[in-house]
Amino acid sequence: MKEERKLKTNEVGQEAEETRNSEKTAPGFQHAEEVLRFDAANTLPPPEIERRLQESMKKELSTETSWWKRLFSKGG
Amino acid sequence: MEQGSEPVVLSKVWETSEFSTIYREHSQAVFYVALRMLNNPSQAEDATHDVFLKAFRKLDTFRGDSQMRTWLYRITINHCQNMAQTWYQRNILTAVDETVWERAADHQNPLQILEVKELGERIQKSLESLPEEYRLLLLLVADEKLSYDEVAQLTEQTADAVRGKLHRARKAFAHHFSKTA
Repeated sequence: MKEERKLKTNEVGQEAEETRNSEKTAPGFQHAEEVLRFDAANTLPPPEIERRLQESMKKELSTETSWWKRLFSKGG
Repeated sequence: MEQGSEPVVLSKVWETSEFSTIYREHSQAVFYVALRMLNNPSQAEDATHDVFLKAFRKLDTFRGDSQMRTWLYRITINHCQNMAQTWYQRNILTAVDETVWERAADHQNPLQILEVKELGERIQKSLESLPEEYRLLLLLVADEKLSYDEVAQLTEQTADAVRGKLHRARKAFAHHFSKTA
């Protein structure tokens, strides 16, 4: 009985090991997330985005300012 | 009139400077998810720009009951899904300029550029082989700033479901990744 239980425990251990191995992506990486994390850390957004964003935001703000000016000049 | 509008402009300038901090903190994560969701660096650039512009416009609606990162991811996911669903995206294959991928992997050393580029291509191929749900799940779980609860919230399921699917997603990714070697 004891022997049988031990066998079952071994089987469970073996299954867990197989599961761990099947999830292993590449040497040095335990899981998919680790590969993705490494890749993400090495992938920087191009600086053009920040410049474009600044221009777009400036445009938005200047539009808002002129909207206020238009509102006040109509009201006044 | 001019006196009244001045504080508005000044406060906007202050918001802008605060927003640049938000951009610096989260742009890399947003760009990466967009890049892997769209598989096109130019479109990922556009998407990142658009996501932050949307966030800037809606900043006053951000209630702070979720993390800024989660809020930005929500906008990113919706935006990229919309981009991917457009007729243009479905029907026209755009020629991707190779140098754009190289710029995306921003390294000084040419060998490193090659290694990161190769790894990126393998990752992209593996992700493309997965169902969209698994792909998104892995990308979000890979971000250590997000908890399982936040990933669950973003993918509209329970944290337990996330854990269950994550196991299958990892296995599927590992299978496809080994085939790309």
